[in-house]
Amino acid sequence: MKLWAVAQYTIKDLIRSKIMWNIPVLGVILALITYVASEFTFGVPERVATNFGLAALTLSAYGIAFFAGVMLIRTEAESRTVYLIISRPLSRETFLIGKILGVSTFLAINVVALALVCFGILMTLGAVLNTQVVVATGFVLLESILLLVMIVLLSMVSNVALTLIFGVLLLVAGHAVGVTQEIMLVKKIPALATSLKYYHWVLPAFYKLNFKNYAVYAYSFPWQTLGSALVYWLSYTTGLLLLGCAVIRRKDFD
Amino acid sequence: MINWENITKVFSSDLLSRPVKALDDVTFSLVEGSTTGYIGANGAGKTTSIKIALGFTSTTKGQVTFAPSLGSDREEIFKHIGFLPERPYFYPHLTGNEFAQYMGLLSGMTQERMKERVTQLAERFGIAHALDRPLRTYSKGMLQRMGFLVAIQHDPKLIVLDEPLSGLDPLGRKELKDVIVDLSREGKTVFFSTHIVSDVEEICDRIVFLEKGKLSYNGGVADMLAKASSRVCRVMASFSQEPKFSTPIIEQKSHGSTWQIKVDTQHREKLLGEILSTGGQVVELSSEGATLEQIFYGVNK
Repeated sequence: MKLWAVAQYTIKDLIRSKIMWNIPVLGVILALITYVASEFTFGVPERVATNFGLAALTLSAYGIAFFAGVMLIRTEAESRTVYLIISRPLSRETFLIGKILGVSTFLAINVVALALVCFGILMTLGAVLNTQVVVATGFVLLESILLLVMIVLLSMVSNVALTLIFGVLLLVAGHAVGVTQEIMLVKKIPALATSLKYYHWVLPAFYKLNFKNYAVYAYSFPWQTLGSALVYWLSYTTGLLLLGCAVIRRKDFD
Repeated sequence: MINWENITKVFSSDLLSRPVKALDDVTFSLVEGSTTGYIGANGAGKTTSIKIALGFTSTTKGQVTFAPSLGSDREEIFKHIGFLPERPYFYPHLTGNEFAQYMGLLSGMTQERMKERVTQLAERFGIAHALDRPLRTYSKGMLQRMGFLVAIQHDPKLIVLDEPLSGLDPLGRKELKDVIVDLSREGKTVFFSTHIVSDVEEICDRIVFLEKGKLSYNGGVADMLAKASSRVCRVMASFSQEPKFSTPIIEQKSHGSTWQIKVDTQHREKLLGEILSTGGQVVELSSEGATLEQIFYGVNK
């Protein structure tokens, strides 16, 4: 009940903020770019549209995860609203999870709204909406929620600049680590190969949640990979949330 | 209701900077049903000790305990506490009503009770007309009233207010002081910090004075005033010529044939005897009053 109250009012505050303008603005930009790009493509306009659509969706979700994640707890502390809330009979953990739940719901609204624009364009271009596009879109949402939880955790232990720097580094590394493992040079250095092999146990391996290529090229899904990606997302996000709860329990709001 | 037991708080921002002791072995308790003013200059450690009591920040040494009347676990205890932070800032995009509802839900209030209390308190604070407006459109005074509203909406037993009167116009200050007095009459325990001593003298029955992180005074306002008042005795007496006394005099001034003589209370009887034996006539005898402000300036000296 209290968890949902925190989430509900976080969504309300976000929906009324300027961040909501992101949807119509990106929607129009997405439509324009997709149209222009497809005009310059020979034979596969729907593939270009899918590529641009998913990329725009991902960037928008990343943007919200970074923006909302960095400010989520920090703004509450700076504006002293956190004192009003944690002086009520609710635990700090409930407050943190409620806030994350609120932003995650907002991310879902954002992803669904932009996905509808994207799907609309695809269908206008004569493409058939396949399962791969829908699943890849779902994974964009899951990836951005994992990113959000990671950013919130970082923001509780460091300042804004460091949170953003480490956040971007971990996001890039988390995507690059998948292909890096395939490089011959890396394979020749056993220590590096082993450390990259176990990277996903320690740091978030975002590449595991990226199914955009399957959507763009309409490859058939390896369902086992999809399942293990879901399990990975669930366990890693839960792990980060538990860590976040431990941090906020001990955090001094000076 | 809250006991601060040997609280020490040291802040150290990084390894290179010198640690700052914000609170140094502070021990005091809040008396149930009292209105306690928490006085100290800016930086004395008032807000830090409130944050420690409410669990926002940890102590370096010491502990805070709560009276059993508040409850046995954290959730139960905090159901009975209302808190207003210093210079509160609220969610700008929520309306006053939504914010009050949010706080009410977190306090475990039912929808009906919440509506009833918010309507009643908003009328009392004069912000009923603005409840459907976003909080970003509220003036500073209105935000302070809104903060006060949400601090007491769940009918807490203990109300902790950090500088509740700062930034308010004289009318606003008077209104909120009246509310504090009313809450005190209802049997609530009120604890509020301020650096304006006259506010405390006006509405509090107890006082805690903190100076540079150390406790200087903890006790009744009346006791403090009585102690200070009884130190000096003022006698107005008429004489035909300038009187000379063997009693140690603090001050002696002439107003024509009437003289104002101030002595320490312990020398009052001796002075009166001397006045009568020299043919003087006592016109007035009184204890010199002192305000808390004068007392605490004295304490500071």
